[in-house]
Amino acid sequence: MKELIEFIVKALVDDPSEVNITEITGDKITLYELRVAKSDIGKVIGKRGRTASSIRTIINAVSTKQGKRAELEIIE
Amino acid sequence: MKSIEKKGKDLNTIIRSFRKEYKVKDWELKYDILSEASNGFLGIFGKKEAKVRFNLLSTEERIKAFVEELLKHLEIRFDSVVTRTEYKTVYATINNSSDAGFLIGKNGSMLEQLQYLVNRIFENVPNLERIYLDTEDYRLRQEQAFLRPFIPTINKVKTTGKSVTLEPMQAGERRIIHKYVEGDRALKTLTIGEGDHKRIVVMLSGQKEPEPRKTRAPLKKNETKKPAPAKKVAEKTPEELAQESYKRHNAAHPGTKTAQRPRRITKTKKPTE
Repeated sequence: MKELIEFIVKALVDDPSEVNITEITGDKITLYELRVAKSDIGKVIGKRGRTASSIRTIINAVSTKQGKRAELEIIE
Repeated sequence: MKSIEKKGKDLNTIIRSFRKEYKVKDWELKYDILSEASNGFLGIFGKKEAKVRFNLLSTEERIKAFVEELLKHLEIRFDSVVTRTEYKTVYATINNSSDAGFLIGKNGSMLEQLQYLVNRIFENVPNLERIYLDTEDYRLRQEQAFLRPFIPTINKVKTTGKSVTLEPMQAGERRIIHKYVEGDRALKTLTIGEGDHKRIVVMLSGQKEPEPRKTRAPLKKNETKKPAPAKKVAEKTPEELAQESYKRHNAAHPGTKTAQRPRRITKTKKPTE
């Protein structure tokens, strides 16, 4: 899962070296905290959060398939 | 596909500088090592530089490489990703995937999101307007299912010669109609309205674009068109003209309710969808 998020985000941003994802495993939900370069935050979120919601939909679909729950948080 | 050869001290340095120069991401990095660096004998004889040949992918190949990599990360197996370019649009079709239902999602939502992401990622590529993703002909079937109820209405225009205004639709939906009507040389389309209220008008190719719509009965076979008295028209005010138009309409359709005012149709540029 982490690789998937990393792959998508790195493809989106201008500066892939600044992409940083931390995985926090909880009882039911796995939380992924995403940090990107300041200039790239807009790219990850997108117009009216459309890109972010797109990524979240994909993450949800994949995790449901694996019988888990995952959430993505974009940290500024 | 273009290729470029680079020389350098060692492989990693060459690759790093190449990626920086051409802004190449992980999934589109394709190269062959032509020769590796060697220090030679005692660092004096036969000293060799490393040589790498990089393949620069075309837009279509880049999209293909990206979709393939994305599917790998989604843990979906597939036979092939076929890409095809039409002018500035690239169509990518995923064939024989292990989980088409997952790729399509509920009402095609997953496919829609994936397509949106791919479009964002290739946003700044020159000469590329849009990328369409499809799998197992899902999009094609959806389009056909959407179009089917409109076909009789559109064909009716040809028999009656009267233009038809369709209900307001989204850009993607209008595109489907425009595309279908484009295939018929006898017909043409026009878009009226603004924002969420854009509607398609389907009419005969030779027909003039309607200014305010004229409500008038079609000419009968033996009836010849009366030449419009051009000078007279100029003397009348638009209000008087409109009044006459109502009278004509009432005469032509006795017993029907007449609209108080002719419907205004604002002309808009035909979108390039």
